[in-house]
Amino acid sequence: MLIENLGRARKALLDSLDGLTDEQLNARPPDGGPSIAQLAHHLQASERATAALVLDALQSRSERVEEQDPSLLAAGLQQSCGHDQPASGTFSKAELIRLLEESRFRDLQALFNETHERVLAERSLEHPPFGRISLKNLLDTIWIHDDLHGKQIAAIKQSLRTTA
Amino acid sequence: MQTQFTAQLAIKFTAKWQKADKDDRADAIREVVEIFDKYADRVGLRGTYVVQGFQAHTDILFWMFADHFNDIQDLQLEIRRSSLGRYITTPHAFTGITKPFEFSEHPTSFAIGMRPREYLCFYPFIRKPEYYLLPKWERKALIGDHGDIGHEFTPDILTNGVYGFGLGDYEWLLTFETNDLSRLVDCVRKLRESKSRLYMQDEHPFIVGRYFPLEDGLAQYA
Repeated sequence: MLIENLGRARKALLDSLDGLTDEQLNARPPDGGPSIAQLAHHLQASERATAALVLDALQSRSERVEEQDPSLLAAGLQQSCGHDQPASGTFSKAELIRLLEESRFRDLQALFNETHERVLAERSLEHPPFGRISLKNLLDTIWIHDDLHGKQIAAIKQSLRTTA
Repeated sequence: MQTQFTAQLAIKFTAKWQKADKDDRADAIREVVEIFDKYADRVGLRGTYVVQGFQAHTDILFWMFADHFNDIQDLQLEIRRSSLGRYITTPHAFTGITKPFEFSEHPTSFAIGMRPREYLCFYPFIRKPEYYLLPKWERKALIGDHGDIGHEFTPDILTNGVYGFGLGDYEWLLTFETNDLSRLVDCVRKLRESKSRLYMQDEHPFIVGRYFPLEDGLAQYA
């Protein structure tokens, strides 16, 4: 289900940006948290970094480890996201969509053009928030990440509607 | 990778379509939109592509995908039985299935969440029998070389390769998606330099079209 989940979550994320102006995308929510644009930028940067880590790890031998439950991965992600500084500056919708498409097609698709999902489940790497994690699970964090911030984006959209 | 069925259905309007009353044409289009709506939870419509100006054999190409083939077939049968069905022929129909490729997963662009592009370029193909008799390492090298050329064109050209073995006359069904026809031309031209071309037996028809939402696409001919 890895690829299906990646596709479903990314489609939902892109759909959630539809209809928003650049101003709305870059508006900071009342709680002072990151804007929708900063979250979308963070997601593409994170996807790019994860794909690069996995591509690198595929070059060396590693052991098979047990699959982790998505809820545990989500908890680890929430912890690590708290330490990330949001990107500075503003972003246009076109720029964000281009970045999200590049990370998805140039980085992630390129990875899947190198290997099979079953191979990803057989290899692992050491990763700070998760410990030793399978490469397949590490890629699962991309869609879980999209889902997590997707909820945050929905909440920000709601707050924008309330304040409008 | 979860397997899904794909379908490329090409339709051509008959001369009777233009003679039909304008309201009847609008009703026929509305009926088809309702059919797709009815199947929306089972059949995804990647796009409706207007082929006018690219190939004379086809007016519109529908590109669909579903977990179960029967849903695709039932939807297509409903179109055939609808009012629009009286005014169309189906010059081409292709069914494929998504599966991991021999040397990598190679998922389709639509499966990994890429949005459709403004243009589609679809073609089915058959490799020469000698290709399948090559040693695995040689096939891998050929595909690798082909992939390296294609990689130059990402993310401008999205790729969607699916299996067609046993489901029709062709072995593979390939769909490129792009916003830039010039890049498409460069990509297809450059791929001619791939050694894997030596093992190409047949690749036709090429069907190229411009993306429209369903109702808008059909309305171009109304």
